[in-house]
Amino acid sequence: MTDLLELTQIMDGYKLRQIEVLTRPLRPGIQESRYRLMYHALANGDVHTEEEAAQLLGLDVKGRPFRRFLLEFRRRLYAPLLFLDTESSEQFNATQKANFECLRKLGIFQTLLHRKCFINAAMLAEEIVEIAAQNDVTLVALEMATYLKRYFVEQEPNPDKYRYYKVYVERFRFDWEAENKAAECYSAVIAPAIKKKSNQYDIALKSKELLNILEPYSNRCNTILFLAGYYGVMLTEKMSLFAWKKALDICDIAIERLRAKSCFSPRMIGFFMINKTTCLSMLGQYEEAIKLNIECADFEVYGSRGWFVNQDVQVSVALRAGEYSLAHSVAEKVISNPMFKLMPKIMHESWQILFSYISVIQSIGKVKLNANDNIVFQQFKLNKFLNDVPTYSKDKKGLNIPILIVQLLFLLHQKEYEQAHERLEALRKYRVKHFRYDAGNFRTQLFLKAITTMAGSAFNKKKFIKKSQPFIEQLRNTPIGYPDQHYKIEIIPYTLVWNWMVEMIDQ
Amino acid sequence: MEEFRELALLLRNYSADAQIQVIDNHTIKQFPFWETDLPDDNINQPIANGNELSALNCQDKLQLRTRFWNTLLFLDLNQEELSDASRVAYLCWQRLATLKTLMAAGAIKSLKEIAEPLLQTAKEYELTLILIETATQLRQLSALHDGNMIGFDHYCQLIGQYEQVLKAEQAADDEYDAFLMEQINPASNTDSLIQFALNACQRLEPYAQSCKSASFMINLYFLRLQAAVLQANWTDVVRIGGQADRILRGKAIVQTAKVSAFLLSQALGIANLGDLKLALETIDKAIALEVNGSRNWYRLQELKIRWLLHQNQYPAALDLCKVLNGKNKVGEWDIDQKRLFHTTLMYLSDQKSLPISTREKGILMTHWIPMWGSQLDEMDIQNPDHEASILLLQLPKWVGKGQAGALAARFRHYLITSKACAPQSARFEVLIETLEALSNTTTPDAVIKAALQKLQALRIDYSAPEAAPEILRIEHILQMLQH
Repeated sequence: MTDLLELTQIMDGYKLRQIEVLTRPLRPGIQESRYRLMYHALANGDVHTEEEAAQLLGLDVKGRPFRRFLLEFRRRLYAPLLFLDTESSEQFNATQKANFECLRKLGIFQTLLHRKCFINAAMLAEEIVEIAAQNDVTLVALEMATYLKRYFVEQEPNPDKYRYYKVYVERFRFDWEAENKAAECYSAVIAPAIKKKSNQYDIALKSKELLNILEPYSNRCNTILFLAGYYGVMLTEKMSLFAWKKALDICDIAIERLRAKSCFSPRMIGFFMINKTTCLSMLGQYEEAIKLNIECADFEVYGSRGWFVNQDVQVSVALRAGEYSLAHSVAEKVISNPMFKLMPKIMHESWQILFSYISVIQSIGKVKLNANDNIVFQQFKLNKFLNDVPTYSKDKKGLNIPILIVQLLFLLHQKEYEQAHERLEALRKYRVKHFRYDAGNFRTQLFLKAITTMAGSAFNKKKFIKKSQPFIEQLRNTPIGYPDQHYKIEIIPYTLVWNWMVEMIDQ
Repeated sequence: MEEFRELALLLRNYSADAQIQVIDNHTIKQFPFWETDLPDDNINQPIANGNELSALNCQDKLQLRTRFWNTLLFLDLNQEELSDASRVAYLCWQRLATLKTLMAAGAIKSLKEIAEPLLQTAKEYELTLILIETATQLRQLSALHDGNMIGFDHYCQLIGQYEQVLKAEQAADDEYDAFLMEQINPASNTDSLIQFALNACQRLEPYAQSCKSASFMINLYFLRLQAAVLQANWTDVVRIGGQADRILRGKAIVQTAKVSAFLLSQALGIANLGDLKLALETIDKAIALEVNGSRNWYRLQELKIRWLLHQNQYPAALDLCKVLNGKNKVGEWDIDQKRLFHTTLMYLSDQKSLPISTREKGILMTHWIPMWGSQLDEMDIQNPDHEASILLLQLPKWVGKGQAGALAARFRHYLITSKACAPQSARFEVLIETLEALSNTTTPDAVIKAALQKLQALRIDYSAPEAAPEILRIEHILQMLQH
């Protein structure tokens, strides 16, 4: 009984009557608080802007009362977030559910501890430490074990339990450190590639260097987060060296190790599966890539950043494999998702490039659409697109290449030969300026050489074919996964793009 | 409003409502022990009681506990977050849990809104683990979401810096726990404990150069203090206790129980240096930091009663006993201690040293040890220190019956069997010699006078207050005998 009595000491009727759970349904005929009204308006899509929010409350959008309201409203949203209903959703497996539960209990545990409810804190810690340990929720396991280690020497001396939790604390500290190091190393090799795809060799070198730091942990730490980070760095190294087969093998090892665990995270397994699809597509194994792609499409939480990244790879692989209907339907799903607008700008740029190719494919009739299919892609505007990709436009040896190519495709499709001619001239100078023969991007260099012959052929189909043919032949003999180019650069196989260009020229 | 929309959509998509089992203004009426229509002046009082809770079955208790626990996450909604330093720590932990939940759910828009202020608060309040965890999330956000290398490097640097602090804190934590474990190790002794504490301090010294966080300082000063206490170096004890108190009071968040522990040691040191008045003032400061009714609170109050009795402030001791007998928020006064102090006060009343009203006598007699029984065995005392305390109170009776020699033998046996009494043994040796002399003398007054003189030179050692059987000083008892 002491545990319940302990709790009643820190709550009283007054405090409890102040508690308000925003997510409770609105009750007809009852005047609800402003916070609940605002929550429901947002959740139902009735409010999108600050102006609309202020109007709902009858406040001045620039006034202090409204600012104060927002501050308070945000605070009131935090607690319900710890109660996400993972039970009724198929998107969360047991490990993820345990993760959410452990985090919620961590918040409760610390509140009990700092409110001096030591009996309850110990009860909760003993209840949750094993769940956290089994599910690799290391921070929570560490906090609980640390408390229990102290509890069984200070509050309720018990040498056996003390030693038990001491061993736990040492293990979790090690795991926590290993996880943090792995996360740091992975971030360190991924971050430079977010805005640039043309610095791959530097990343490979950095990855190799960081793997040496992670190596000492790899024999003793087997948590999901460590494995993800460790194999993530290893994978980045191989992918930066464009060693698709080796990268694929690493994906397989990582998946195997993650699956061999008693707890597993579909998100992390999905991460390696999605990278495996990229490797397969770069090795030309499209059928297998598409199959795997579909399998892991929904491993991420719907509408999350990871989910959009997965969809990005789905579309990329589908485009490379010529599965345009699939690419289109996935892209539709993305563009119509309400969370898409909330994603980072850089992610939007990546999507804009993919959307632009889908628009071209639609425009030239390579994909057949139903009447009720979204027409977003049909309303594609070239100038707007170029304004929407400011970061990648600067990635000269990286993602600026597909941007330039799609631009040319549009101009050719619209028979804007004059502008196309200017573009081709620019492309020729661009190739000379940015690509040395031995500086990688071999396929891109060949392709640029091939298409820039169009300018000299005065858009004459026969002349263009004749002049570009040697380069295209060489391209045909060079596999798409030729190891010197980032996988996001060649969105549609160049030989196919060449065919489309040939078709676009009238004579 | 984008970040708000993100949160609202997340809550709507994974409808949390059914999961949120709390005691709020919707459900409060379901719980009979939470009355909602109390007059305003009573609403801040806890209104649950043991009887209502005991009536619940096992399943209901479990559910109720879960509801209580969940409710804790909503309890501070109307409070100013930084108005109370003790609240900051758990609110930061709650935020961190939310932050990691959002990360796991992939809701990134709101992350920065939570993370940046959390990082600043954690820095200000020296919450090292929260700081590192939050910085880790921000580092990941910078790297993976924005490709922001400047931000990434900034957070890497910050994390690296605080990882050293965390290492120091963890090392100090381990040393502290190991020392406490050594204390309960049956094979340990004073010398081994001194060495243990000194070695631990030495191992922590390299960290002490750079780490000044509250968590680290508490453990380091605790170990330094223990070494001084065990060496009976009371000047050092007072100095270290004072230093720790000053350092910790300057910190934003500190567990008050820790400051109280330093104040207790300081008070014990002061008492051992002979200034009981100042020691009482210091112990009052320590009591103020403890939760009303907690085990430690009672422990300190018991010490205060002893010191009041040693200063002959009997009415104040009686008043304090009455306070401890009253209802307290958290726990009840330990029954054995209660009996011991009640018996002592009853003895003082019998000796006419303390006037007690009938009502007060009634309170004391609810839990006491009637001392008219001739055999202690009949009194059902399990604790040898308590037994010695009662024997001391019974001394006039034994001497009056001509059994001073037998009582001396009892005390001799106690000295041999009770290690805890070691610091007091010199004073008890004097008592035993006195009792033996009394059994063979025709001039008891001279014997007592000689004993009082000897005792004057032997101060009471307060280093193990609970074990000290002198609830009333031996001098006081012998003087009673004189009268």
